[in-house]
Amino acid sequence: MSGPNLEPGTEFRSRPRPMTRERMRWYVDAQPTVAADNGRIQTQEPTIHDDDDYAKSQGLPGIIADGMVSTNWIMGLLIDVFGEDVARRGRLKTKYIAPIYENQVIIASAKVISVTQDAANNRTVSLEVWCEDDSQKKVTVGEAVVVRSAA
Amino acid sequence: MVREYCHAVELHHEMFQGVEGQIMPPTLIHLDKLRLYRHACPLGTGPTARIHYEYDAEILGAVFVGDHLSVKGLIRERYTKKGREYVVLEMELSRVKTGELLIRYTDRVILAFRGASEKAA
Repeated sequence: MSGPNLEPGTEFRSRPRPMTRERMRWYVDAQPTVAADNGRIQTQEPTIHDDDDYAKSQGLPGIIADGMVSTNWIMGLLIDVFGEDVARRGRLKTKYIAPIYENQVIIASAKVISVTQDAANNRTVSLEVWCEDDSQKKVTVGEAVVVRSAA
Repeated sequence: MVREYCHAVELHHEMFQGVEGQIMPPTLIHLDKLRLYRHACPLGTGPTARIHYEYDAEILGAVFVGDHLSVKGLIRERYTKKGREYVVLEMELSRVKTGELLIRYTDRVILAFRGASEKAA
């Protein structure tokens, strides 16, 4: 089976992306927009992800990104590396250990921990996953399992 | 719905953004969580902001656009730790036609971030 290097210790990294105000707002707007499903952008009441005054009223210094953005960026990296199998079978677990503030540069990362193969030649890849900023501070941590089908 | 969600988080892969044979990204179950919250708490879960702490999804099968799905959720745990109140919600997403369980999801939130900050100070 061809594909990425699955030696334990192999790391994959996304390109650095700043968590801009717009990126934060896209996820906020996506929630009512997907729910409405009428082809038009919908908005919602102010949140800690798109309104600085509201974020400060909640004890934050300013808006912070929804953790799901970093989870999706990690999943996107896994799909870039492993393809559709990521969305068909496996596991993704992420914990948001530090807030992501406006314009913080974020890199999604994954490291192969182990690979096992079953009798049908399906390979199960266990990975450590995380997002870090450009000072290598981890903001999201977790683990993933990708089942690569032999077919 | 899938294209809209994926565009918002820059998942530009053809399996999400195409028009045939689309697969739902497992992360979209997060919006089902919000739907369950709205159903259970129509006036909101406030008065202060929630903070999402943990996402944990086990993917048992692909979810295809066009599938008729059912989602159920159960508050598994509610506890206080270091002055912060946590809520653990367990969800199951299944294909209605076959009853097949497709995603098992566990979500952990800090229920009232603002109140926790004041208590912790």
